[in-house]
Amino acid sequence: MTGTGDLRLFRPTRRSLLAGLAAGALLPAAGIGRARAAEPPYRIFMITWRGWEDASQGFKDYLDRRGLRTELIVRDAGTSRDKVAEIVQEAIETRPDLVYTWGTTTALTAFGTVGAPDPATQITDIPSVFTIVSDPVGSGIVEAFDAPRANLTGTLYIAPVETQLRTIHAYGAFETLGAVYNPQESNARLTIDQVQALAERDGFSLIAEPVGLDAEGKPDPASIPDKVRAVKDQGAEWLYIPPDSFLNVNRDLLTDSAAAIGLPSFAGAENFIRDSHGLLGLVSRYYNVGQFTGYLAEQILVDGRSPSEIPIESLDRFSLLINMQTAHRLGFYPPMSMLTIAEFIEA
Amino acid sequence: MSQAPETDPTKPGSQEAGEAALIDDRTWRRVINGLLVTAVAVLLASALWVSQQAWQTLDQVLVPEFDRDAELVARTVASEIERAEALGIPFEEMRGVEAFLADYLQRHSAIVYIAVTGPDGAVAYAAGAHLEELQAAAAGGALAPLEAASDVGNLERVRNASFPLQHEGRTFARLQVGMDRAYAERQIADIRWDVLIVLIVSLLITFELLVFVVDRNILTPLRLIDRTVREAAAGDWTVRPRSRGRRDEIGHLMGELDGLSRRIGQAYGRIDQGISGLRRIPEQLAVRLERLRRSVRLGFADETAGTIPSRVDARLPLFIFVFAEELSRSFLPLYAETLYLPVGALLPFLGAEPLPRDVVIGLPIVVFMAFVALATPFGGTWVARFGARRVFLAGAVPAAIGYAGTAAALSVYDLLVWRCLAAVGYAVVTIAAQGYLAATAEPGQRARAMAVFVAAVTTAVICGSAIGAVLADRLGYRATFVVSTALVVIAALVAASYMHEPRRDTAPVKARLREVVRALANPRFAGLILLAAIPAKIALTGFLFYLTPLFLDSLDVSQPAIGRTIMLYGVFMLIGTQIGAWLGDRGGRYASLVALGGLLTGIALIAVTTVDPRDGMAVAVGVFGLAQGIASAPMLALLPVLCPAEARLYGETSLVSLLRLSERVGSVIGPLLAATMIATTGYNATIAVIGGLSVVTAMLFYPLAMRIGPAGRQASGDTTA
Repeated sequence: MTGTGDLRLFRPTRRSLLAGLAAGALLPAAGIGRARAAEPPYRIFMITWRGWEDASQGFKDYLDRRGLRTELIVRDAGTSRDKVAEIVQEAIETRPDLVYTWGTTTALTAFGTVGAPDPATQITDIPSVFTIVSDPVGSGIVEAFDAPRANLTGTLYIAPVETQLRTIHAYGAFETLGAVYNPQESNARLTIDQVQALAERDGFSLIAEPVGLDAEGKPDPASIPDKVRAVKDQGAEWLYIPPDSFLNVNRDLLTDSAAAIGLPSFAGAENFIRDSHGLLGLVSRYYNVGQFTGYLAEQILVDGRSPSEIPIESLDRFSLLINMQTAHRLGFYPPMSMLTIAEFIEA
Repeated sequence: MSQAPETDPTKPGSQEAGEAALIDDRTWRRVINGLLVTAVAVLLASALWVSQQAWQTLDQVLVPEFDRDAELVARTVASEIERAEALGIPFEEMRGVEAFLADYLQRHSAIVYIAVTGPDGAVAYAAGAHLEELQAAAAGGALAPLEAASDVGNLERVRNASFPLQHEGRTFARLQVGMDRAYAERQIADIRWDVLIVLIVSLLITFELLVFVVDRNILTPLRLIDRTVREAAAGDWTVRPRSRGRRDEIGHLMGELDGLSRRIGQAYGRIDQGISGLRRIPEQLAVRLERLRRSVRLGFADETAGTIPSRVDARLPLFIFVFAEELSRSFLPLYAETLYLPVGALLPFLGAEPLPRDVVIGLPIVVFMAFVALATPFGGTWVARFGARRVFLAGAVPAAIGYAGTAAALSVYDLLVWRCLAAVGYAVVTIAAQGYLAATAEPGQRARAMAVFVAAVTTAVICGSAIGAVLADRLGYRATFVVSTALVVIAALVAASYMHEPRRDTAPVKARLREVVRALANPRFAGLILLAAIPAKIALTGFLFYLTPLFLDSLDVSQPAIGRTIMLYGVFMLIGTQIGAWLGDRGGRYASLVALGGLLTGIALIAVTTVDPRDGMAVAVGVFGLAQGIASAPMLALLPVLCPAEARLYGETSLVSLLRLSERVGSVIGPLLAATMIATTGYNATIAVIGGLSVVTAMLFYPLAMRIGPAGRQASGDTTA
């Protein structure tokens, strides 16, 4: 098996895959001349939630650089749960070598919750990997990080909540933390619960405001500015943004309302800082998470490891993102200690 | 060396006195002193010049080196602050700058502060000490202006380096890095001391080698010629085959003398032959021939006739050997500390540790001292039986193994075994060297021979402890023991090539130790041992050998500085010995001088506990050495005064041996006492207790001394040993 030598080379860096370092420098060298031309291509069935983005690109690039011959069957759900169900049916029928899913809703629809999957509508016997799931345990996809399912494992992309809070503290100490979240998203609720637990343990207060619902019972974007103002009025010094698809869609409104009233905001997901007005983020780059997921796929496809043997992990290092435009707007600048380690997003 | 034959031949006296007249000890000393003065003068002049150059270079090289250090730090810090500026963070709104500066400060011990002065020149952000100096300088406009280039200037205690912080070519603030001027000066002083130590040591070693070379190549052959001529004058015309081996002028001269002897022998043979051809020998001729036959010796001399054993033959190997042992003087306890292993780690079933850690660390010294004491009497017996040269060589074997083992020791416990071997070797070698020196001494010159022993040992102590510390600092402890091993081998090689077994007939009948021990029943002798000799050794091994390295190390004093401190003991002991001998000869108040030594030791030790030990210890060790030196000669001179009957019965030498042996009890107790006390009460209390012990015993000894009063003239003969 030619892969083992490469693995040894790669292993020390895989947990610390940072930016393009490993992807750009190490991996191509390792992959050269290793195209497994003689083997039939691996058929990988990819289910994405909102189109082809960085994580999927990282996944594909990793496998390409490792010299795997792959046939990618890409299906996008267009943020529709029903569409996911349809795609899953196709996967069950075509029986690919591996299934890849992007996002919490996709994973839940494709694999169900642990202990109660339906073999008719959900994938139970095809090796699978999930990615961009903020809390796979809380949402019931797996039982624990070190207890993947027989056919399913995956990667984490959110830093542990405690680490996130420490990062906020390092930028600017707080006693009251504010949060706005979508009560209908389990991700968001679970994360808010974790923050609450830490608030009790570490002695700070959390002011969490669920967004308002419209007449149809759906979360209402129009309620966001008021909720942000509400947490600020109750004394919040920071706005904590949980992983939340609804908030992600409305990220500009959310982060702008915070900045407008002088409330610095923190998020564990990249978009809020990079593509919006959030001040501070501790994030895994989607591209890197995608590569890491590719590494899992390689172990399953090439090395023949069972997904049940591969624990669910996050990358060891996260990127610290600081939006300098927002910092200027707030007049709230990062401390010197962060200058060397942060990535600054400037206009 | 032309002065040697100029010695006054008209000196009156017996045949014996005349025999020593040509190359006697006075001549020897004069030659050596002349050598010493010349060598010291020449070497000192050149060495001082070299050191002067080195010191100047130090200033030129090291000071910019410190500045470069500051610049390196400054560059890193500056780039971060410039980054903040580049990110558009307003200078006055930068956050966490102080913590950031403090973090860098922590990593550079030579830097006392890092600060940032703003566009207005005032200190905006700062971390560190002595900031008031910077603030004063900033307020007084003493710092470089905002737009100036990098600049270094001295404030009162700080050397301040100032660097512009720029963004897009515009200076927006300045970084100020303060370096501790004292730190830089300390570093330079440390290196200067090292240079000085190497200088002194090379001077002393050169002197030892010079003495050896001059003695072997000039004095000994001259003595040989002197003896040959003298013997010829007395009628001994035997041929000395050994003496022609040399190819220099002296060998040539000896060859001529031999030729002369042979020709005289042949002439005599011809006369003999001629006479045997005569039928009748005239009475007058027969009488003259008979007188001639009786007055001369002809034929071939025995093997040893062509050589004169010289004490210098033993001096150099002894010096090298003791030097090897002294190399580790300043760090043996520290080395033991690195090898410390709790007994529990080796023998888990023992449970509680049987000995405190400090005591275990002291054991290598204790064991060494104990085994030196135990092996010394055997050494004496062996020298008497096998001869000094063979015993010297045999003693080098366990010593070399001991040092090699020490270098490779696994733990403090096997270290004890290696130290035992080294101790046995040390005892045997030093006693052999003493025996050799005694045997080669002219009759009545034994004291001077012992002075040679003391001189060689003291020089080695001074050189070894200082240079050993420098070696340990640069090469490490283990490598220094490897050097010791090599030196022991060299000492043995020198001894093997140059030491001749002296004729043993001169060895005096020595009283048996078993009998001499009875002298201990004399309360005055016992008092001297218990109240003066043993406390002195307790202070020596407990305070100097054990405590001083550990204490100074705990104060972060560098290894070379520890070595220098310990070296001071030897230097001042040398001075003290001269003072003590001089004072003793003047007033003969030996007992008072011995008491004074103890008192001075105690006061020095107690005083050091009240001052900053970093400087105080060197003074204390110096005074301690001085005090011990002052007491050393009077202590020996006291022996015949305190116990005249025993001195007459056993001989003074035996009493000295007994004193040396029994005081080793103190050598063994010293480290044990110090270690136990350190474990419970700490360094200062331990020093105070050892000092207190010295004072109390000296005070108790003093009444004893007063009772005896000034010693009579009879004891002044043997004060220099």
